[in-house]
Amino acid sequence: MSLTVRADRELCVGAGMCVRTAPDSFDQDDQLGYVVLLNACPTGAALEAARRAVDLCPSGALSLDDANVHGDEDAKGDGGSDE
Amino acid sequence: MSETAEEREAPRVSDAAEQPLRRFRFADGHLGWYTTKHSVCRSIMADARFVLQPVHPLGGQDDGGAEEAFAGPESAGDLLRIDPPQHTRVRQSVTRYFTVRQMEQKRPMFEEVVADHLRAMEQAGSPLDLVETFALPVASISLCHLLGVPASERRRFETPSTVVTDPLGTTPEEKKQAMRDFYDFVWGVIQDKRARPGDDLLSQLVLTSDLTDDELKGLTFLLFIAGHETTATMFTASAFFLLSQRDRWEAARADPSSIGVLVEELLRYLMTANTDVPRTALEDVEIDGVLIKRGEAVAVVPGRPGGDLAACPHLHGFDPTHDAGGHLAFGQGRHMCLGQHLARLELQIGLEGLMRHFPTLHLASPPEESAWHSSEGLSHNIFAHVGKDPLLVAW
Repeated sequence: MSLTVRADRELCVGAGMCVRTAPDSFDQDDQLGYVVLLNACPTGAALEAARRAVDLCPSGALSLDDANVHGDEDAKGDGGSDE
Repeated sequence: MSETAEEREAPRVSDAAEQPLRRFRFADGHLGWYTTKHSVCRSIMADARFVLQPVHPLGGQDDGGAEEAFAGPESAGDLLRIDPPQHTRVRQSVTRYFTVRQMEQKRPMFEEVVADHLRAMEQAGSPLDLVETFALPVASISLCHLLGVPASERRRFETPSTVVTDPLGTTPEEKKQAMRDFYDFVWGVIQDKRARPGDDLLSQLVLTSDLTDDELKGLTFLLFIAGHETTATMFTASAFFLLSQRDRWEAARADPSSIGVLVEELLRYLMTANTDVPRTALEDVEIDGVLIKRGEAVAVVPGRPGGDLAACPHLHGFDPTHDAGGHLAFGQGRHMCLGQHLARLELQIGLEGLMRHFPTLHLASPPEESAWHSSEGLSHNIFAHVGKDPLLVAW
């Protein structure tokens, strides 16, 4: 089983907490300052940092899913949008 | 209104050990809620079903006419007074200038401002007022450089900021006049950027955004007021807090590589910024077993040291090695502080510089005699004000 990080730019407010917390997994774009996913499948220490970033995200834009359950990239709206 | 809010029973939809949300009557008569519980504050601030408008003033807190002074047409661009979709559009016009990377690229500029003022302290000699010689100019001039305004202009935003952020020390008429002065300054800056754009944040904003003039004025006002007074206050409160017990200062000085962790813990523990903006529910929302009905407002008042400890277990003692992640010093949700990475950088560079250059720094008089001292013996007096309360230090 592997874990997949998801980032929802519709919910993102560009606070940058994820970039501070898990710079290996997240960045902010130059156009809006919103989240860009650098690595959707981090492992080891990077996974722990990403997990922390999901917890700290101020807008609920990040989630961590079991890739085997939510494998479909188009399956939007699952997880992460509800505080 | 004779009934007291605390006496009203909360309409519980399930049992809970605590009562994190209490009934509360706002100053305009609206019956809503009040919470100081950290997790509840955090989830309400992060919840898109809560908005800022309509604003119900908190009861028992006379703001000395501040709300009225802030409520002009320019508030269309004041991010702390608007909701989506307007808020989304206005905030999107500036978010990209305050990213982690953008701020980190400006680090040398902030280091230079701090170095200049450490030298100015040496030249002025011991003792001196840390607010006037360091905290305020470092915060204001860093902002001037970032926004593209001459440092010599700083009094034009510092002075009106001092008037409008001092609720009871100034009259409503003084606040209104200060806001007129503030917007005169802001409008002059905007017109100058339009005529002579430079390589700075305000020039880019003025040239590339599709904001109306009122929105642009309100947003620029917010960048100035929120960008200096808050950081100057946090600098001063941090210095007072660390110096008021020598072992705190020495422990912090002994481990300069942990300045990032120290600053987060100071932010968590001191909670100097006022984030107590009430939120109103757009629909029925259940939080911690309590049903908040559509249209009801919640006073979201994150606990400070000395607040309700039972409701705020996060308010444990100050621990400079503690991971303070999740603190609410910058708020949460869509209104989370736009300039948080700027503030962090300034605080880290500034405090580290102070500790390195002035290892023997100490309060020039006993802490109890300082305006920054809290009579309850807590971290600091949250009503102390960088506009009028000095912090005398010596070395």
